[in-house]
This record gives sequence, structure tokens and C-alpha cells, in this order.
Amino acid sequence: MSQVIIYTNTSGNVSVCVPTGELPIETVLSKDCPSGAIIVDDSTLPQGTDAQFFDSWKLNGTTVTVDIPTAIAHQTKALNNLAYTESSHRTSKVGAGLTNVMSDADWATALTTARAAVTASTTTAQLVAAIAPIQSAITGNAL
Amino acid sequence: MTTTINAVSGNNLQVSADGSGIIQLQSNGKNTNAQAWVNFSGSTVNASYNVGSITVNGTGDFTVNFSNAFPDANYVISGTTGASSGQLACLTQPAGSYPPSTTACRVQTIYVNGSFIGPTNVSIAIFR
Repeated sequence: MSQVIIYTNTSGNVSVCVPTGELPIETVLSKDCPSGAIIVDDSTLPQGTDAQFFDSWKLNGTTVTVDIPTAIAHQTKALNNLAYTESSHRTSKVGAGLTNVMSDADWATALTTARAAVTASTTTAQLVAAIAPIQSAITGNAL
Repeated sequence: MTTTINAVSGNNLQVSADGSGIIQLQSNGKNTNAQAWVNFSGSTVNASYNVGSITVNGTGDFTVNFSNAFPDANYVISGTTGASSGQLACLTQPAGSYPPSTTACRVQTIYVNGSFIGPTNVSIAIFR
């Protein structure tokens, strides 16, 4: 267990300041962090799949939680990035005379299903699971 | 207290340590060694020198906070980062948005498509 310093940054998200051990944490708090920053044990920060959604963390008092609507927006963007990359890849494979593992119709259905699952998610575990089939399909369609 | 060793007459080569313990290896009055360096992975600091803390501002967005301030912000930042093989990634210092200061510098780890990289290893050395 280590101590870190947390605060709400100018973007409205949570910043985590991690001392290297060269200076006492109280010195780091006063020197490197804004007023209102607090020292907490890092074990109190979101764990597991919640930890993957760092950009969706919100600080309420001394507790950091994941804001699910923000996490959904981030996961939607991540899914769109995956879809964009794979769409180009699928086109390139066809142009090279190769066959995509998943048909265009099945790929479109998988994307629709994933988008619906992301939107309907109420936990970060569900958000991770929602795009897992897309990530698996992309891996399976690699050259 | 500053301790100085002149290895060659005329100060062509000089080794000194100031009261804060920062070692300066100088040639003709110019520092030639890193005045700060750090290696970290996500929010885990693996090793450091003259870096008091790392602030994680967001995915792939970090601030390196120096233990001892630099005389000015005209220092050189060098470093590497990376994710998986085949995924082109780079370490940038977004001076237009977050110019370096004497006490800290902000760095970002970004894929070639412009999206920030999640937890990855970052190595940075600062020269001045």
C-alpha cells in the first residue's frame, strides 16, 4: 500500500500525483499539487475494470468513483476507433485478394450489437465485455 | 555547499555537487549529464533522479515534477515510450498547451492516430 495525492484537475477529472520517494509526501503535496489536494492510500482508488476508466474518474469528497455516463462516452469513442481501423483493414484485405474471416453482414451486426451493449452498460465490467467481441474479431482477422 | 573538482586546468572539465546533491559534470562550462531522469509505468515509478513526483493527469498525460528547480525552462527533454510491437507510439511535450517550467514539464504518450496510450513504460531524461 502506497500513499498518493489526488485532486480534481482543470478538466474536471481526477489527477493522481505519485511521489517518487525523493521527497516527503507532505512536501510533494505543498510543492506539486493545488490547494484542496488530499493524501490517500492508493488501495482506495478504483480497482479492476474501474481502474481502466481513469478518464472517467470523479472525486467526491475523499472518494473516487467512475462516472458511468462519461465512461460510456469514452468506450463509444474507443469502439469507433476500433471500427474505423478494422474497416480500413477489411477493405485492404479485399483489395489484396484476401478473404475477411467475418462477412461484411456479420461484421456490421457485431458492431451494432457492441454499440448497443456499450450504451446499455451500467458497470465498467459490462463496458469492457461489450467491446470484447469486436477486439476478438479484429485479432482473428489479422494477416 | 558546492564541492568542485577540476580535472583539467582551465575548467575544461569540472565535476561539482551543490547543496541539494545535484551532480554537474561540465565541459567548458556546459552541463553534460542528465540533471533529472525518471522511469515509470502508468502510475508506478520504477526509478528516478531529481524527480519528486509524477502526476497522472489522464490516460497518457503526465507531469514530471522536479525535486529541485532548474535555473530556467530551456532544458532538453529526451525520452521513449511504447506499447506493443507494431503500434507506433511517441512521447511528446505539448509546449503550445503546457509549456515547460523550471519546476515541472508535461509529457504525453500518443499513438500515431492521435489517441492517448494507456499504461505503458516511459523513460525521460532532462539535460540543461
